[in-house]
Amino acid sequence: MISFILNNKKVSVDVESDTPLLWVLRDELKLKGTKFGCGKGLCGACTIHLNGSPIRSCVFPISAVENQSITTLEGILDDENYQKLQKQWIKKNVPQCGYCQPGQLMTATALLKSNNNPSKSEIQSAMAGNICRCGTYQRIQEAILDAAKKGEKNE
Amino acid sequence: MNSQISMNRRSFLKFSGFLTTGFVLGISSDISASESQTTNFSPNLFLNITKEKTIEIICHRSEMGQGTRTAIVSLVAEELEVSLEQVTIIQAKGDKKYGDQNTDGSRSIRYNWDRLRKLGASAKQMFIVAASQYFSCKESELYCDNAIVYFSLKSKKVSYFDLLDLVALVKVPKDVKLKGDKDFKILGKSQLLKDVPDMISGKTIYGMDVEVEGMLYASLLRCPSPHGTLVSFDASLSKKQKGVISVFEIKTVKQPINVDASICVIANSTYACFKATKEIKAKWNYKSHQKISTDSFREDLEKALKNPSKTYVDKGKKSKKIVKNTLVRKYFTPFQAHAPMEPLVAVADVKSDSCIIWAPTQDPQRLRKSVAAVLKISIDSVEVNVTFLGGGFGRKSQPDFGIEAVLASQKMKKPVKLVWQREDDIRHCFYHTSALQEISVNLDDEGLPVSWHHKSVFPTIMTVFIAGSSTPASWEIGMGASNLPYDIEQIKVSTSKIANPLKIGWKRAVCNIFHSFAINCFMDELASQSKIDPFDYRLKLLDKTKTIAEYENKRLIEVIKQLRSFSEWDKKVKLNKKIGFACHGSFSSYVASTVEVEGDSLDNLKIKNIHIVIDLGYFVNPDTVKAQMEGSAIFAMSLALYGKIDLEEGAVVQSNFHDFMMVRHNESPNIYVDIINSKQSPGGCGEPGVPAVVPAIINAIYKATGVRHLELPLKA
Repeated sequence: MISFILNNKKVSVDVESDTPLLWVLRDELKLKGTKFGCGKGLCGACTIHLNGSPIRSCVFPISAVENQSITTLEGILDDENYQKLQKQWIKKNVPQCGYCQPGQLMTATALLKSNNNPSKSEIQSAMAGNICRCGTYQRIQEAILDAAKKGEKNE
Repeated sequence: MNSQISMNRRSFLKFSGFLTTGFVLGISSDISASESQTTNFSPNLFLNITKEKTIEIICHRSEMGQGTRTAIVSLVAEELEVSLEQVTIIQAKGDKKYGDQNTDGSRSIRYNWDRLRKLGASAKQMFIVAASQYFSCKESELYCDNAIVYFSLKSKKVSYFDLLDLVALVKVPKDVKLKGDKDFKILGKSQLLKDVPDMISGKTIYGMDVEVEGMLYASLLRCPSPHGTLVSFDASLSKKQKGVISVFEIKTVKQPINVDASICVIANSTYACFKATKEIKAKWNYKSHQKISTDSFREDLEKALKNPSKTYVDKGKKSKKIVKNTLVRKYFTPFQAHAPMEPLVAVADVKSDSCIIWAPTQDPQRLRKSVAAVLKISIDSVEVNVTFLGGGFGRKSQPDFGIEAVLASQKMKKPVKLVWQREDDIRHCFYHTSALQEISVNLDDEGLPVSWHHKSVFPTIMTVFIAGSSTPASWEIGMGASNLPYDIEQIKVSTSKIANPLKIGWKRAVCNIFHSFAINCFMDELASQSKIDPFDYRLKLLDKTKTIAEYENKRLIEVIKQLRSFSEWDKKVKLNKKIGFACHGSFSSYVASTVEVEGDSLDNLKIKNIHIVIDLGYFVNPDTVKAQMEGSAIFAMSLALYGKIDLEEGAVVQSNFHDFMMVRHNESPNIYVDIINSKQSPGGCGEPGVPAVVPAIINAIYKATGVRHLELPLKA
């Protein structure tokens, strides 16, 4: 049994220790918001937060998660930064197929947490690990810029 | 999955115009009143208004990012006079009763613009009739808005939901008047896409997310070549692995289903399957293809190009003008994979004489037919549920991945979810074909061509349907080559036979991509040799009175002129900006693009700005059109810079996103889109942006580096 904190709740799973966290989330815990894209940490569709920082769950073995805190898309829906981004994502019709968007949002949420006023080039480099085959990059970047600006005004 | 539509609902507006361009309302005027009592209002296959105050509209096209679900229901909602907020979208299962569901060829709006608006308008007209009875007034005194009928003279109103009993007795109108575009409230105006909130909160169900009670998982180890068979295998290590339930062979299924030979691992989790496939020792036989490499295939292309065996266009006569110059150029484009973000996946539950399948399919009817054929059961016993697609680009119109799940479920007698690994996706694709082209021209004293000979050679998509097909079909050559818009005295377009080393399929914009690449790069070189601005050069060759294979030159000319000002071309040229131009008509739409780059070599190259102008006739949602052009621009950048599939010993070399690369956030340029509101019949939207952008990139790079690139991709 491996125990960890998932979206602020303690969970325990009985799986092979080399199983990537992605498949524990998806197949065992039935949380489908974290997506499978490449299985090699190359595309970012499986991005989740480990102790608040974005990691690729498709190459992160469950054994390394023991007693750590994991946050998935399902766990950040109430997060202030996520909600700022969510508003812009909806307003700008950001997603096309939408499949990569959970990963994009997990990376973007972590970016805003560490840098509440990123420049366009900071956004581009922070997001470079998240591929979108539909090509929604421009809208994602504008949405992050606007979410950050809106955040400033509220403060 | 909420995709049920009850078949026992009364359907008194029978729709029989599916496969024709016209629209036929078959009216069953003899339906008795008793039959209609206490039912919901579902006057046709696409609409159901319920007593629970819901307005359900069917979307029969697959959503893969092109915004079709919101667009399709917008057509009905506009004429029905309901708002998009009031509508619930119901995804149709695969069934021929909906008419064509094959979501490819950028046809969803083209084929449904009139048809679905008429359905909405008929239903609205029936509410008007019901309300005239309700208020005892004339129909002409009533109007509808937001699912309410207004009797303005008396300041009275009644909602559609309160008219359900009355409307059930109303006969379907024989003919309906559609709204003029001036009265549109939804169409032509930017709308929020209805599926976005679910997509960004993890609630959208893609194929990858389907869960069926008691399902097992499957993944395959495939033969490296699509032309091979399994000789023997040793799965003893895999079988020892925890969670593995069974390992067995899946045999090749021939055209038009095209399932590769493979070994199937069944386990209790996806990852257990993935791991076990790596531990199988398999011996394959594909000797006949083992000598094929990228280089040997290139030699085959070169040979084929030298020996054209089929001429599709041979028009005009030898010019009487004096030939001052000639130019010959050869262009090469490699095989490409689609690589949608969601790898292929399907869940199948095969019973003794029936099958239910859930799949991210672009073509549920073809999948349904394929399942029935493979299982030898009636098509009515096959249910195909269409999930959201995590990208498609043409790959998910093939039934192979669904059939693999069916074969696995049949063997296990349980529901099975079959998941492709990314490596499978890159190595077992129906590839965008690889083409070698040569264009040769004779030029007059002004530098304009008086003769044009375009040879285009590539393995044909027809191999999907007929084994051994070797000559490109007229519709493939018709994507950009034989429908050359330019007015040239003598035009010849020919092709040749070539064997197909891989499986070929259609990928976003298909043959238009390489034809537009060759033609636009060639035109750019001709223009600069003649010291004529490339916009002017095109305009000199476009006869505005001509229509070529349905494409009206005057519309292409308008797009070109609009782009010239929209992109500030002349100003940027004066400022010596590194800017390139290209234009291309495809899928009944017209697109022109400029690309501006910085840097002076491929190593420090940066694509800064892309401008796109499109005339696609009437359009539903301008914001979606813009999104599709933005996506097309990024897609085109990946094609131009990175995308290629190589062959070694008959097998594909590339395997994942590290060697089949695509454009990322840090390379994303500013993309500007302008739509010409030409008010012509709707054209395509998802595909036509791609072909114009690829050569515009190459032409811009020539300005920056002085090098004319004749082969793609540039960086791999």
